[in-house]
Amino acid sequence: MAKTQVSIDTNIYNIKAKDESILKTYGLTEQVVREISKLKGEPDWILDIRLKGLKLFYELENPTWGPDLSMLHIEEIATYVKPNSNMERSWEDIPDEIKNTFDRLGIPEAEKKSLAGVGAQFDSEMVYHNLEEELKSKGVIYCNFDEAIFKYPELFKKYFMKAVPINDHKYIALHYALFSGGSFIYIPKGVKLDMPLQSYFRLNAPGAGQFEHTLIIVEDDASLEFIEGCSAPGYNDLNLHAGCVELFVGKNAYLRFSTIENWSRNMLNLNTKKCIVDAHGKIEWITGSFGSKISMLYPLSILNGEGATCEYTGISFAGKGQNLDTGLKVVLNAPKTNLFVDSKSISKDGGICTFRSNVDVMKNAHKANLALSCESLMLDSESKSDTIPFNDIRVDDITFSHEATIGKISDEMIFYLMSRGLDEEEAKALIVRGFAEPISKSFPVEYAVEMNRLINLELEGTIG
Amino acid sequence: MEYILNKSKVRTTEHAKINDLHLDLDIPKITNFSNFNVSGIDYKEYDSNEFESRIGLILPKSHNLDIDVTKDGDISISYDIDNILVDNININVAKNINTNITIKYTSTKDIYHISKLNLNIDTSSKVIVNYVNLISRNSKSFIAIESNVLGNLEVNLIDMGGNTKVNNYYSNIVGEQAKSTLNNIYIAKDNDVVDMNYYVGLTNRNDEGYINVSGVLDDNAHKNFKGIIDFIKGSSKSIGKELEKVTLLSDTSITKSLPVLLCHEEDVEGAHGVSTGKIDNDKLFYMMSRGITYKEALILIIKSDFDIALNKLTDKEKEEIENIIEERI
Repeated sequence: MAKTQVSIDTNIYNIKAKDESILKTYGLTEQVVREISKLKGEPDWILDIRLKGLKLFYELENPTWGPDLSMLHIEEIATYVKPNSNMERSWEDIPDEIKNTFDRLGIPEAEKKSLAGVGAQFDSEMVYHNLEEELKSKGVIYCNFDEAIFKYPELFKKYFMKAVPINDHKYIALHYALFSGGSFIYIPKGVKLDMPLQSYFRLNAPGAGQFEHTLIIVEDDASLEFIEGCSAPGYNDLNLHAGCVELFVGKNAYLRFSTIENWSRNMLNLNTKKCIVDAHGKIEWITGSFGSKISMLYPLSILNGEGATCEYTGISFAGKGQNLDTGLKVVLNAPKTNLFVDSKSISKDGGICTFRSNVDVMKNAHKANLALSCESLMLDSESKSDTIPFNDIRVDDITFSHEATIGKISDEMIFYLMSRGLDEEEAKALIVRGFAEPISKSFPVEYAVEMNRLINLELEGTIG
Repeated sequence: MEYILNKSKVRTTEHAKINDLHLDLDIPKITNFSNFNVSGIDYKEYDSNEFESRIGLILPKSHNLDIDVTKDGDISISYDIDNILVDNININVAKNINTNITIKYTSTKDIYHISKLNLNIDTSSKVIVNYVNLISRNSKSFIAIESNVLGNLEVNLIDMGGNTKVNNYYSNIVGEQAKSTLNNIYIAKDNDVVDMNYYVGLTNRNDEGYINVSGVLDDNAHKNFKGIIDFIKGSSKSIGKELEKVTLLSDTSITKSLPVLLCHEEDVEGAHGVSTGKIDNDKLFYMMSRGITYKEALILIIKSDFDIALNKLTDKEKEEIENIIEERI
């Protein structure tokens, strides 16, 4: 029987646009921090935050757990890379080299078809931001994060750094010293968006860092679906991503935060994400982690209001040379709060997948309901798959269950599929896609397709 | 003096405060010990000038027993402690042996008990160890058990004594088709501290490793559970599972768990489960509707959970432990 070939354009994530940046700074010094702040024309209080971040970065140690980060030498990282483009409202106004990159990634096309607004960042700066006029008229704000400092100072000051403090860990201190770009989103009370907003972060320059800050406020009774896309072409130099996401979900509000991350294999992805959820609000994290050399990413949800809910649906796929240490942190800090976790990981060719969770059930979380499930699939015995969940429970009247399983592709399944005419490699590929399906179904259809394409890319060469 | 004990092999964030146990201890001077009894086997007794276990306590003196098991049968070892006992028991079980070993520690005064049990189990042997801690309520207990398993080992750690229980279990399953099981039960109340640091490494084909822990927490008791099932490369077709059940009788107790699965082999079956909460109201209601009082029903349910570690004891031994469970609850 003829073998089915999956046709994949493997080049789209690896497009290397010509580096036409007009300014680059290296390392982290007071001079670098002051230069970035001056370039952006920031007020003094922002500069003070940056200087505090600088001091803390050198005071704080690397984590004593997780992957080894000693390979990172900040002085070798291009910590600010200004692209040769201003912030534009039309794709036509963006220089061809940059626009072509986003064209090939399918961003403008997706904007036309299925998005209510799009932001696009190239290296250290946002180059495009647009939002449907109708939403603007309803009071929705979707703009470049740097711009929000000046245009919406009261909102900005009310929420900025309120979820993620500067001393949380070494790499958030680094972020606050160097933050640049990102998106600022405000959804007014009662406004429900039918279509998602998407910000896409593209790191093009070799040896560079990206430190975007995304701040989303979903007021009471409002709802939003936000999609974050990340990618970079592969280089030999180490790249660094130390972004920050702060989310605020109001009473009865809903936020779905979806991420498809396909950083190149030279990237250290040390992102920090936190969400504070009010009564009967809901945060849904949908995460697909495919790229990077090392990822340490554990979105934190603080369920502060009665009946608040966190749902986490995530998949990691680690191939050769990758160490993906991902998972989540949750603090249940009110009665009748809920946590549902469905995590899957696939490792192959010596890749390391670690699921790490940290669940704190506080004294007042009476009648909380928690169900965590982790499944790992190993495609060979060169790989590693670890599950490291931590639970701290301070109340007695909760329902809590945590299950984890590790396994291989069952011989019975392969035999069954082969008896239906598939060869062994096709059967394995089908089973892997089936394993990932509950996660891919959580994404909007265009992104589910992208996720499946990434899985195909990962499987290419190994299975079919 | 502050000691940092029971360091976890797999580290997590320091914020969790579970990686290491920090304890202030005032360990008494270690004296010669003779108040013990061994039946069913010959043994060699001697004192040693050094003691160290995976818990992290290093001490200058210990009371040692070496036992070679070369025939089937039951073995009983008992210690009655007056002030402090630091003991080291080495048990080597030869091939094709079927034995049931009960080791029991008691005290009437509040004492320190620091112990290490080394078990070497040869191929095709089936060994059950009932390790019973019945020292007095305000005593301090530090139990380290290490095993190299080529055959089949089941350790039932019945941890009823003391207000500070620090346990370490380190089992290397080195044989093909070998099996190591730890069943641990405990009750903690008042301001008790329980710290469990357990590791089961599966190294060969068709191995099986299990960690089953069931405990009851009341009042302000604080429990840490650190369990690791480690599928080492070469352990294909092995099974490793860890299950922790915590019954909470108070909303001021603290239960922390770090149930880790490490996997470096594709063709394995690994699983862990954690279940935490109050006694099931449906079960209680069913029993009380049949004339059983609340307390009787509570005790019955807990005894049933604890049966995993009690069912290999003799009826007399089991009754003694069940009476203690009733007293503690």
